[in-house]
Amino acid sequence: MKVMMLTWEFPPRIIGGIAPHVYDLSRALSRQGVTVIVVTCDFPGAPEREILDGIEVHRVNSYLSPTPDFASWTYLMNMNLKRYAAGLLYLDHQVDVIHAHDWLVAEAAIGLKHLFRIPLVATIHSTEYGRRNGVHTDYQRMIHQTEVWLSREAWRAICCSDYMASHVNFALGLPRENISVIPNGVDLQKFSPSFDRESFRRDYASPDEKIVLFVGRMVYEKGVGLLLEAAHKVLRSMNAKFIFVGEGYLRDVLAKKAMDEGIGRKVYFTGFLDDPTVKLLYRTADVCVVPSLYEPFGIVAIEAMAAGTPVVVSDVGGLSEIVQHDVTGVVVHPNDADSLAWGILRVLKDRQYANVLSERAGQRVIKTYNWDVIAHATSQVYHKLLKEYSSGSWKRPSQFS
Amino acid sequence: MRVSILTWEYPPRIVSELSAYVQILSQTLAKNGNEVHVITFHDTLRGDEKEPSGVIVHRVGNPVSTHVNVLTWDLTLSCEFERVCANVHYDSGRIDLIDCHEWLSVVAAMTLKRAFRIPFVMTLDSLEEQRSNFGSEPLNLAVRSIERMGTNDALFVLVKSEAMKAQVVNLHGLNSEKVKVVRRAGDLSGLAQLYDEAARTGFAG
Repeated sequence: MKVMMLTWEFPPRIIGGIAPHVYDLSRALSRQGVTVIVVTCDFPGAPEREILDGIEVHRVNSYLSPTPDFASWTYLMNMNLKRYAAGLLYLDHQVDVIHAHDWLVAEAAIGLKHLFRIPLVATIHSTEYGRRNGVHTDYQRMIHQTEVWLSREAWRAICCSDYMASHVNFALGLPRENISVIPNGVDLQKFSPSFDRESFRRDYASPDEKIVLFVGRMVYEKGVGLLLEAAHKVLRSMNAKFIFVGEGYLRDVLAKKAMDEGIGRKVYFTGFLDDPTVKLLYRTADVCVVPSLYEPFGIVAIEAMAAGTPVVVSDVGGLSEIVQHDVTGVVVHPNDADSLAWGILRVLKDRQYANVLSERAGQRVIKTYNWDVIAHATSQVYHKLLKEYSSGSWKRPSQFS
Repeated sequence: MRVSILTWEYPPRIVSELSAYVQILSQTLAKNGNEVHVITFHDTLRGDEKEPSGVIVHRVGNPVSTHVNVLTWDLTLSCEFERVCANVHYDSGRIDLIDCHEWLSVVAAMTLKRAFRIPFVMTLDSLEEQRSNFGSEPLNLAVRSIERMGTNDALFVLVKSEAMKAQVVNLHGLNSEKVKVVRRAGDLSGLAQLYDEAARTGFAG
């Protein structure tokens, strides 16, 4: 089995969540005997071609000349990606599946699909409709229609949660039975390096303070404002430090608000932190809070669970599927500061309860959000569609393959 | 030989003189015994049509109907040109030559060249530099970059006059021997010979 992954970001080029997703998925597939070729955009200092953990990576000139806007650049980048990959596929007749990640590689994926009659799988990580809470301008409509086009051209679509699958069904009009749900995962090894917890902890809180951790973009839909509101209520009965990790337009607004309201010394806005430090913070915190108002998946909750930290999450989107209340974490009412404060205190006040939750949560991560399990489910999708493909008439005539 | 002509206009869609020229060209090629497939865009007409001349016309729409500029419009349409051209290649038999018109259809030609190792010739009716009056907005520069990539990738570049040949050689840094001047008035059978030569030369690069 050979798969060509198309992605606009791949390490060391990391812009959002797609790069680590494709990297971890490709590595896990490769461990299971699937040959993976990644065709992606170039990045300063990264080699044009390399074998990385068993993955064949090709970095293509991503179109560096001036372009009118981001979407125009994206379509031009696709032109280059497609031209390059067409040359690869002309020489390599073994590729069974093309796997695209989001609309950002739609033209390359669809073009190659028809040129070589190779079935296409598309992972829809998010939608324009979801990102913008509706489609309001021609620019957004063009991206939305490109997503619809990609989802129709795909033999099968993959979404990371039941919530996302029903959202794609609604927003793109794609039949639910065309969508496979395969969750995102975490690499447990990244949570294992040994470290001096007490000394690391001193950089963030005094020994008598409990650490309440938030990790995410500092934006409205992540519920950060709500967490600051809940902080007041928690601090009435518990000595704690609220650590907010991440950047966003609300960071300065909330930092000022905390000062004005007299809890400036109880909150710490760290800004962006590198990945290893964030992993250590997960392992140091007493509770990790995910108070989102909109969340297609909720990787932060899974990372905290992998780190052995109890989680308090709001009952929205993918989070509701990840955390089971009173079993693997505490689930609180969305957009409700009282409920959020109650959940945080419930964990902080009962050490034994917190331990039971994090123990079970750790088991759930190993069982469900493990890249080997995810890669297996993904290759099952490939096998199923190849079976359908081989019994159909749409394929390259034998004299061409 | 089997020729695939990519053009964004073909009767009944008439935007400029290109439409009529492509029709005469395709008829001439068909008359000379070639199997000619015209792949073109239309707002509403779809599917295949065999004309009395023997020319087979394949009309496609744009899979994405809303666009912010002509560039994005062209780049999504190119996927449909590629799809139909691949279908002809697989279902009717190997295509020997691709003939593309303007920068608007060269993106598909460049991909098809690599996917199937088919040579292509590119016809230019005008240049973005002149159309935009030496414009240097990002949109003009992007169109010019496609035009430049296309002319460099093509086996032959066909233009309408000696003046235009000098312009395009100078602008895109081309070897003047690959740029041919085609007189559009009168008999186009000389052009049919040139196309034969291009197909015989085959894939280069």
